[in-house]
Parts: sequence; structure tokens; C-alpha cells
Amino acid sequence: MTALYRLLLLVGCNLVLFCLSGLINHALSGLPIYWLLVGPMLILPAAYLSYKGMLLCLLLTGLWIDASIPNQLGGFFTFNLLIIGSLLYRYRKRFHFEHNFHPIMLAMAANAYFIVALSIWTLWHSSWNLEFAILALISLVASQLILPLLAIWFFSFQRCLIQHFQLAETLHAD
Amino acid sequence: MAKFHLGNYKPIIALGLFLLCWWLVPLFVKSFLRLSFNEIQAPFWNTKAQLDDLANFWAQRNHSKTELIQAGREMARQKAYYQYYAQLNQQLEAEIERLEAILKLPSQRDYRHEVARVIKRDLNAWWQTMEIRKGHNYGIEKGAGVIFAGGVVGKVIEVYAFTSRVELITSPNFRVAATFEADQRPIIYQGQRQTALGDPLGRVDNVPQDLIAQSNRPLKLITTDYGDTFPAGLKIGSVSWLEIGRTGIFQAGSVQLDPRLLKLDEVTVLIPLSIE
Repeated sequence: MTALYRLLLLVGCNLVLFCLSGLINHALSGLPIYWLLVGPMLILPAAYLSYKGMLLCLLLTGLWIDASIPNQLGGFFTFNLLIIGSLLYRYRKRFHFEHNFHPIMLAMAANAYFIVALSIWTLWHSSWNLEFAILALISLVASQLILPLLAIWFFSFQRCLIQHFQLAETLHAD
Repeated sequence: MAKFHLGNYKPIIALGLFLLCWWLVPLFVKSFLRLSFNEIQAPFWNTKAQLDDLANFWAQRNHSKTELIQAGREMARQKAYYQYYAQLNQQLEAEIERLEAILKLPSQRDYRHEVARVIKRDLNAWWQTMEIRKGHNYGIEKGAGVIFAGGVVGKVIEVYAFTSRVELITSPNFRVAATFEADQRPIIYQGQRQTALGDPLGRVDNVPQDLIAQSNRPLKLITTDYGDTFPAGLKIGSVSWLEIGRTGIFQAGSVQLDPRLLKLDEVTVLIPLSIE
């Protein structure tokens, strides 16, 4: 049951992060800045959950995100979260998840991948224009600048909740 | 050379199998999942909007009585002004009906107006949408037009039980038949992404060559009733510069939209009465 609770807790944390970024983006809507902060959502699930647990966690997170964006993107976030999560799971022994440095670097790399992949996906379905490139670049820079600060808080928040609910005894056991 | 172990790639193979299964899942199951996840999210954004309303209410309560009296007086003046225009509007509508009857013209399409609060604005390079706090519960249908005091806002693209998603007029996916105020020839309006720190923009492409737009006398772009989404005459934006387009036959130019579009809090959904 501990593994299930940990899974649900990590899904909950992802939803909190997504809702918070939605609130900020709502407030910033008059500006060309948009914070797409998906990268941190897959780091600790890939590190601290079993493979099945990670898949389920990222599937729920991806479905949640995909439901809140226009349908024309299909299951973009579900699909990519599962792929990047699986790759990270495959190589997770190479990273130190007990400190923040590796998770932050991985979150930044994953986030940059999401923004670039989303831009390519969008361009695939529409024609190239300069406004799109400028806006996507601004979003990429803005998201990557805020991400280290946000990721420090987010990973600490996740670890804090895991410890508070005493779900930490089986970390890295899988 | 390192020996290849299939076991090392178990996660990737499992993912491949999972994605294959996901691909085979019928479309209605995926639609159901999407719908369910959206309905789960709706209460959060509704609560956030209600809290904003409450914060506004308490902010308004801090105004002094003198300020409230002054605001009341101003409202009374505005009310008298609009009452006069409401009467005038009634007379004009009666006149239109009379002329339609004499000339045996088909009557113009009528709409019900549903005012809705914006609960989430999602404007970025990839999509330009907003969510409103009314859905199937208020009879909103997919494809309904959305307007505000400054003109056209967009079109409803998804409807849920208590919320709806609106695609903004600035979205490149948004296209609508339009015309210039002083000219009856139809042209196509298409949304354009917001430029860095600039006002929202759109684009018109097939403008006849005899039309001239100047920055001191911009052409007002309005809706037509060809598409059944909007009634004729609603403001879309203004065009202050036209140049020869890619085809060489027509002119093209940018449409300056109302800057309030990016900060909307309340909109009106036009529900065609024939739908009900």
C-alpha cells in the first residue's frame, strides 16, 4: 500500500504544480511570457517508483494536462511524459536523486525537450512564421530561467510530503 | 563489445507495448477519459473564479460611502442614456420587421446572449484559448460565437458540463468571413499570434485592390452573417495598412485587435435561437 500512496502523492504534487503554473499563466496573459513547467513532474516518479507505478503516475499526469489544452494536440503530453519517464527510469542508477543538482538538470533538459517537441508538433500542423518562433523562444527562455528555483521548491515539497506521510522507507527498493 | 541483454531494455519494451495498447484503445474511450479529466479539473478553476469574485467584493466594500454615491449617480446617468437607446433599438427592430414583411425577406438570425465569466486564460505560442464558467448547463453549444464590449472574442470549441473552452480570435486556427464597414464584399479574417509585447493581431488576405487603408483613416473590419456564428456588423478590428498579397491579385494586411482581448474577465456567448 505504501507504494500506491507514494504514487498518489506524487500525482497530487504534479497536479499542484500544474494548477499553480496555470494560475500564473492566467495572470500573465497580457504578456508574451508563458511558463510551461512539465519537466519536474517526471523526475521523482522515475526515481522513487516502480516501473508500473511510474507509468501510472505519468499517465494520470499526462491525461490531466492533455485534458486542459485544446484537443487538436491529441495526447501529446501523455505520450511524451511516458517516453521520457521510461528513458529516465532506464538510466536512473546513474543519477543522484538524494540531492537537487541532478534532478534539476534533468528537469531542465526534459522541460526544454517538451517545449521544443511541442513547437515542432505545432509547426508540423501549421505553417512557419516568425511570431511563433519568437513566442516559443520567449517561453523556452522564461521557463528555463524560472525552472531551477521552482524545481528546488518542488522536489523539496515532494520529499517533505513523502517523509511526512512516512512513505520513504521503500525508496529505491524497486 | 558489450553484450546485449534484453532484460536491460525491459522498461522500453514495456513502454512500447503499453503505447501500442493505448493506440488500439477505441476513440470513444479516449474521449471519455479526456472528458472525465476535464470535468475533474473544472471545480478547481470554478473555485478560483469564485474566490476572485469574493476578493473583488471585499475590495469594493472598502470604498467610502461618498465614492459609492458618486458611482450610483454615474450609473443612473448611464442607465438613462441606455434606456433611451433601448427604446430606439426597439423602434428600429420593429421597422426592420415591417420592412422584411413588405419585401418578403427572410428574417435575420436571432441569438440568445449568455454572459459568462472567464475562469482561465491560456494564451501562448501553441494555443490561444480561454475557459468560461458556463457549459451544457446553460445550453452552450460547440461553434457558438463569443463577443465582448469591444467586438468579437472567438468561438466555442469544446463544451463540458459546467465550463466551455473558447478559441480566441488571435489563434491562427480561427477563420471567419468578414467585410469592411464601408464595403459589402466578403473577405477572410484569420488570427495571428501575439507579437512580443505587442497588441493582438489578425490578418486579412483577399482584400480587393480598390480599397485603401491609411493609418489616420483605418478601415473598420466587421463580421458578416455568412457563417451563422456571428450576426453581421460586430467589430473585429481595424486595418491601417494594406499591401499587395502573395497572389498579386488581392491585398493583404494586419488587423489590429482590441488590446483588452488578452485580459478579458467577462464575455457573452451568442447562442442561435434555432439550436434551442
